[in-house]
Amino acid sequence: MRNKRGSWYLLTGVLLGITLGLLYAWVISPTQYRDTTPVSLHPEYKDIYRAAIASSFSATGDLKRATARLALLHDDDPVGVLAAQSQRYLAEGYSYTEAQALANLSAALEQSPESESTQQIPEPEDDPGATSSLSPTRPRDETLAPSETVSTARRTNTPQTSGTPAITSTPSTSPSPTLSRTPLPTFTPLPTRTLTPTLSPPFVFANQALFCDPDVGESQLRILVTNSAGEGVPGVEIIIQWDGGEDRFFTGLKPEMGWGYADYVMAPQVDYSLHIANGGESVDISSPECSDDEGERYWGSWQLTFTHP
Amino acid sequence: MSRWIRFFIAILIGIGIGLLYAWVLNPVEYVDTTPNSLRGDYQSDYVLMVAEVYQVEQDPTLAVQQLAFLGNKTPLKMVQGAIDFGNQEGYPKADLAVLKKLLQGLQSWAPTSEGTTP
Repeated sequence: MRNKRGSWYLLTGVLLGITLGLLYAWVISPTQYRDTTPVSLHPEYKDIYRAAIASSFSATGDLKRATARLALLHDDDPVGVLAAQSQRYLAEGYSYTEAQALANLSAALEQSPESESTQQIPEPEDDPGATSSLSPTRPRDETLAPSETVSTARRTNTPQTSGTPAITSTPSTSPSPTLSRTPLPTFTPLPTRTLTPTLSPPFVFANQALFCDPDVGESQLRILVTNSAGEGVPGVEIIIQWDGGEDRFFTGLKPEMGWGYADYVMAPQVDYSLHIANGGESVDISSPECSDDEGERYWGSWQLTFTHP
Repeated sequence: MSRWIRFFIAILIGIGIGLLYAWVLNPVEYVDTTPNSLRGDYQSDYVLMVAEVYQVEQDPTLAVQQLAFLGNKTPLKMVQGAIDFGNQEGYPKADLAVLKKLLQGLQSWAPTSEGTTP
């Protein structure tokens, strides 16, 4: 009788144990989120964090610090991400000032010689040799603390100790209601904000080219903004005005066309005046007329190029 | 060894396997976390960013709104915490001064705007 039972009871015990182990690890004592890093934030919170970095940069003009802070988010292409977020903020009705700050930071990074033109911001380096002395609460795959990477030389490189009691984070798995993305008034316009002193000289109008293609079906205004090396610059704001109206748009919205590219659909027979937001000369333009081989007329497109002198 | 002892040993082995799987082989990955779970130094740096903006804007309401990102602690506690952390970690004096200005601004602002404090 006993032999017929075999050792199935052992397997039963193991399975029961596994169940108990998982129950303990996932239900009774589940992981609590605390001492996390910015890279682990929900994308919406990352956007807010990124916007704060940009606003801080607008206030201080400290590109080095902004670069270090951005590196904490581990964006593959910080310049492009900033430009895209700027565009998205404009499209979704967020504060214009905040979109401008994001665009400014994107442009400053793009033009910074330290940023190696396209975009890879070096992430803060982990110090493998220091891991053994880190705080036990420090996650294993963590970047260095802001006090180690963002700061000036007067900050220490010692691994951080646990946060001060007054600021210790409270573990929570659900977003606080105050963190919702919907309350747009959080980002109120700030008309007194000043532009960063790190901006480059104004772009100058370089050339204008006519494009005739009946398949386009609309009269486009294509803008190319490049730096002195001929590389496209994202996040550059362009202001276009016409009799009784004005619109603004940024380069970089269509990265597949290049980071310095932007376009605008012109209404036929309307005279426009266009200029780069941060200075530079104004260009007057209107929809050009083209004709095909049979003499049929249609509206063509213009391509305007702006560059640094 | 009795059958029951072996059974309980099997259970213990199973528990060990379960914990090994849940904590080592397939540990939880930190994704989509919330700002209030950020480590103290990152929170302090965020407060510093807010303070840097405040230095230019001089807008305590905006600062409070930005600080709400970090959770439901009072703004004063957040800023004081960042100052304490900065002192502890040796932040530059300029940064500490910026934080203190924000603290002063919030102290003078809070009594008249109590209702909007997150």
